[in-house]
Amino acid sequence: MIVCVAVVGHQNNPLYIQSFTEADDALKLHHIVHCSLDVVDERVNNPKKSGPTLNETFLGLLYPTENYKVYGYLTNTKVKFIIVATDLDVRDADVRNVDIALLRCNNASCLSPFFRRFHAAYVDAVSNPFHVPGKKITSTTFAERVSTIVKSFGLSSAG
Amino acid sequence: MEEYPEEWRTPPVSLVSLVGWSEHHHLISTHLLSHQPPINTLALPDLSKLLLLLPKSNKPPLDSPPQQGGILKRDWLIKHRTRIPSVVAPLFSSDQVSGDPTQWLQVCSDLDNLKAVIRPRNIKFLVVIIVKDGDDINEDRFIALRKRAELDAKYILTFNPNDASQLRHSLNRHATPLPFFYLFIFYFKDEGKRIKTRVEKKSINSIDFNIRHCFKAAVYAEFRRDWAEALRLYEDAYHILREMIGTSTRLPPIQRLVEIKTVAEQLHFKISNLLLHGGKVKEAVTWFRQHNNSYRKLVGAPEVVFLHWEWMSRQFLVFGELLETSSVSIQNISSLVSGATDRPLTEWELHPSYYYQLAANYLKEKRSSLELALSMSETSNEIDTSAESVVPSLYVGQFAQLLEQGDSATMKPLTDEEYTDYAIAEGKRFQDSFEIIALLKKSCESYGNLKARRMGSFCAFQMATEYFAVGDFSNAKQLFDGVASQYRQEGWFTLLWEVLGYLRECSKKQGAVRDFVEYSLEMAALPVSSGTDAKPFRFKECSPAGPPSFSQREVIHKEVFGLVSREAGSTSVEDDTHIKITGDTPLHLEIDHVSPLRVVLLASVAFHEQIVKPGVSTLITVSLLSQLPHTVEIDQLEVQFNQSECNFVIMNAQKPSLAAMTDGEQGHQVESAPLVLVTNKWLRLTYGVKSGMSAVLFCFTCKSMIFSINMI
Repeated sequence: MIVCVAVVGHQNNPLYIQSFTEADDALKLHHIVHCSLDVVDERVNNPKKSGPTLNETFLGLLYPTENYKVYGYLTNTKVKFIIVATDLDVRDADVRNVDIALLRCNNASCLSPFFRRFHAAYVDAVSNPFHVPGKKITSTTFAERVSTIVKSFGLSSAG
Repeated sequence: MEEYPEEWRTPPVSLVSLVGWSEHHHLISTHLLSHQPPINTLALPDLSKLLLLLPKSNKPPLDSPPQQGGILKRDWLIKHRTRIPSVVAPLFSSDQVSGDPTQWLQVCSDLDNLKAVIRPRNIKFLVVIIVKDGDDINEDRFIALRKRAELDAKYILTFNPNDASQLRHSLNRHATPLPFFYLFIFYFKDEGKRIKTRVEKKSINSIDFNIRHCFKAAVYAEFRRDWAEALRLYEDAYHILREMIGTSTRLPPIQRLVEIKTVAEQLHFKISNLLLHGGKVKEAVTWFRQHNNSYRKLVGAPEVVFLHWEWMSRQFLVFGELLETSSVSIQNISSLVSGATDRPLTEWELHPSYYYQLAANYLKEKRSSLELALSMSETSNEIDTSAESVVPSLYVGQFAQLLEQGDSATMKPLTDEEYTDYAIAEGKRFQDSFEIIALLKKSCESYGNLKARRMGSFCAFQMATEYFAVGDFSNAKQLFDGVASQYRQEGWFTLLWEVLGYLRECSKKQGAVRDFVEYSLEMAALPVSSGTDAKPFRFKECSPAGPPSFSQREVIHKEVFGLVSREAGSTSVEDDTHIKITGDTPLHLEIDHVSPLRVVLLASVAFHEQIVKPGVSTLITVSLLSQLPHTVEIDQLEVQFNQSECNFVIMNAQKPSLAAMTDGEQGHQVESAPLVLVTNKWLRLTYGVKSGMSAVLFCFTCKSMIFSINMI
């Protein structure tokens, strides 16, 4: 399940952060997103280490924390999309070794389309003539669209 | 890792026992110890001591299950290192061997006795003959000795103690101490086989037994340096152990889980160590991940949950230390990272800092669980007295009560209640905060080396909150300041809000008025609002300043203006703090080009004309912008130029009493205007100034007096 999505500008400034969790850990998610920028930097600045993912916009799994997994996506304008997902499904599947399909779903094959939809929503939001480039995205339409994408991802991964 | 006994942490060292001719023992011992791999020696003056050391086995028959429960005996490893030799080397002089029949008979009798003692235990032996310069052993006697000892010629070594240069050669008849190693390998191979047969027969359907024997076989394999076999056997033992959870009923539930976890920890340590030293970093990390996944949910009984978190923390710490010490070639991270399929490894999982950070997090969990357990235990005073007599028992991961009756002492098994009391009493002895700080510091330094600034900042932030919690505000403030500048630089205002909340509290506790006002103003002006997020922040662990929201900004605004406004005079923010501003000691804040307070107040002075002529009046516009949540009223604004005669003061027209007070004080031009700054709205004031002698005129300061902020 996706618990947080973020758009981070090319100066590493947050442009949009939305969390989807009932627990009181919104601030913790901010920290996680911020820390994940180090991994993005590492992957972008050290192309040799980052291997085959270099030329792709989807950066893959950035790093795992205790309860979450962080995935990244880099647009060609160096804007980063970060999502934080709970690791519960993956861990259960891994331990019990029963649901490999679910396990893979949180992986590249499933997240890449998600990021593409998210990217499309972002492009629409920043194409608004009233949006100031580099400033926070305050559009409610964008927020609603992101919510829909996140919810639909939750449904598809659960199904 | 240091808390593990040495025999666990280091590779096994074989033990050889030297018997007789004590004067040569030191020389031989030193020589054997200096070899790679080293050999420990147990020096015995004569054969009778060996008899004492190896009494007739009083073990129960192999086919009967052990009576007292337990998986691994605590001293089993150390026993094979220091007490039970795998090879015995009796020393005879060449005179004894080649001498008269009486001496020869004595040699034969000693050999027979030795064989009788060591055979039941399958201990191997070789014979060392001490020769002097020019000595030559009778060939017939040599053959007779070989036959008597039933040894191959290569296991009869000669040693000349007088010739140091020859020492190595004489001991190493085969260039290296191979005879010793051959025998060690035979011994451990035999022992391993014996154990393996027993396990394969499965005559005893006891999980304990199977784990123990897999473990022993693994240690024997390690002794003979068969790392692959050792690894396989340790893994077998680990997997069997995992099956034991939920099936074993030997001990009360809490103690049972503690024992299983302790054994799992030791097996896991061995496995990780072997994998890492074999250069298999990826496998080690994957193994650790599985280990973590298998056990992290085995929290156990609610009253001892803290034991689980402590255990988890130790797993991460030890694995981090192992990664750090083994420091195998992790340079080629890309191959490690990209090689994985379903669950790829990430860069950070290969660095110790990641593990230290999580170890600290788990230790925090432990601390809060322990606090809860302590608050729930009403008999905390009684605990300490009964817990004192609890000691580690015979088996790994078990504890018992030591009862002394006169000279004798007996071990009494504990009930789960007694064990819980003991665990809580032990837990109280440690200051977890310092341990957490130490772990985070390690992690922070390690992230620093990796140039992962943000992760380092997060660790520093966590360290600072720990310092804050223990009341060390000076260290906390220093760390928070560093973190705040990182967040400020990148515009992460929600995170900055949290840090500033702590900083504000630190300065309040330290009585630092200026800092308190600065942090408060910055917070009040921070563009945070709950509107940016899907829902308002309502996190439990928000900073002392509360969740970032407009209403909270307003609260802070009112508080700080209440403190500094003249009307308030000498007020304190709270009665228990030393924050005070009086009219005698006004507070001066400077907002320069790099000040974080630029977010609070901005001032700019614009000249209407491009050229300023001496003696001719020119117009300037002073613009002020406040981003504070409420309207701010300024008492007086002083604009200073490089030519002091041009300076002028604007008084707040709405406060005539103030205007009268300072009117014409220093002969400066005095103007009057409504100095009211509405949030996010520029206040523009235009005035004429006349330059004196010079055409070079520039404004360098705008001084606004509410509480005297200088804007340059």
